[in-house]
Amino acid sequence: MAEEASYARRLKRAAQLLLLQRHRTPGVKGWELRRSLGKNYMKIVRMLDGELEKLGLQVKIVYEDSGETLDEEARLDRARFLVTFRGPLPAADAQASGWRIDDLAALAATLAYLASKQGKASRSEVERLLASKLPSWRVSIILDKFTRLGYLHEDENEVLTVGWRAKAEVDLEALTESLLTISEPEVEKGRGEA
Amino acid sequence: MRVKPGQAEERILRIIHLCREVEAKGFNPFEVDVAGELEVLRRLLPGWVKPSELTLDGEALRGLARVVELQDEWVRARSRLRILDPETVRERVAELTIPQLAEAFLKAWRPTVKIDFLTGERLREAASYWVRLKPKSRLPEPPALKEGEAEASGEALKSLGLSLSEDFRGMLEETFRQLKAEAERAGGEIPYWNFVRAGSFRETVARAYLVSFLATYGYVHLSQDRLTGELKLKPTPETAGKPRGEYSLAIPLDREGEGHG
Repeated sequence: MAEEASYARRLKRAAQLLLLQRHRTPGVKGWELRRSLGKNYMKIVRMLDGELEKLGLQVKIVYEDSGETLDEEARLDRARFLVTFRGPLPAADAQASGWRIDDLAALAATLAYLASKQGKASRSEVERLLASKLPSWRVSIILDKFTRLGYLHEDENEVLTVGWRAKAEVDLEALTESLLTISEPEVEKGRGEA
Repeated sequence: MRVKPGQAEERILRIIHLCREVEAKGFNPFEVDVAGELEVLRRLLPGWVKPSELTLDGEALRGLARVVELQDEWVRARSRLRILDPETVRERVAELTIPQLAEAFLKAWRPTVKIDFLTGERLREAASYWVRLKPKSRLPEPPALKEGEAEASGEALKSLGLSLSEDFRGMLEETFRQLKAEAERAGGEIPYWNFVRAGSFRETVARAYLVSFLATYGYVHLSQDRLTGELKLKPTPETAGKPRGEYSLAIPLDREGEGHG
């Protein structure tokens, strides 16, 4: 009985930690969860994921690309835990999200291009790709915005890679599949549903 | 195996419904056992007599043929996914419209869910910040001038024969014309002091004042040799009227009519 109460209390605490934004970037690090929930925090995280599934949400774990060889415990310590939608966003909600349609299109093209290049490409290549679709003065602004929001990462050599936020929020396989298979009638259908 | 007529019709309707569902809802077409369903149709065919029964058989067969077609498309799409190369992405980006690209992204986007909240501590911080804010009507004090610095008053400018009027615009244009002519003669650029220095200190100050306007508004480029400290002026009509503002340069003047800048 006491054990059940303890789990229920820690489940609530996990939900608070993951959902309430404390830092500038959403989510919490694994070590923060361990400190608050105890050593077996992954059990609580899995329980929370089960509860969130009923609401169409999920706990997402984004591992850090440190290049170091770490054991699973250390990798989880450094990973970022956050809550995301479990499935696609309804079109009507996407319209209300405040994103411009050309920003969404540019992010689709950029991430698909990075995926096709094993996750990295020079900024100039991506700029050329986007300039075929958008005014060139917007391209640089858009790429800077995606980098600021964490969807892209840019290193000192102006090489772009998939950012932590894209890893958390974007199903790259689904993106490339829909990019390859999407056709005009499907778009019309999507608009009709919205 | 003999099947009762009612059951046979039900069975064939189920096949037709399954094929329609796969096509309409985009299910994996390989979920349909095409060979098994064709075998069922083959076994049922000898029992069909009425035209309506034969029509149902034809419809089921057409449905299964469509499923095979969908299986082909599905395999093609999957194999393209595995060989997704930058050229294919470039082609697709060129082919698709902005709304189609956005639609593709929305199918793959699982946005983060977070709750913004306010704590008592943050509220206290905000209240303290608010109290410290100066009323909008009270303008900030101008920064104090450093020792030796003086602000050019309207009166001081008038004493130099300068005023921010139409005349001033004419004087600027005249100065720019002179500067261009002298620079052209000197091969593109001229030393600052050669141009600014005039017969009297008053005229030198007035000329320096006009040149500072020309430099600020992009009519002329003022450069300084890092080794010798020599200042040079180069007319830049291509950027005329475009304020520069990247940096400012203080050039002291002395009463001997020569600066130390």
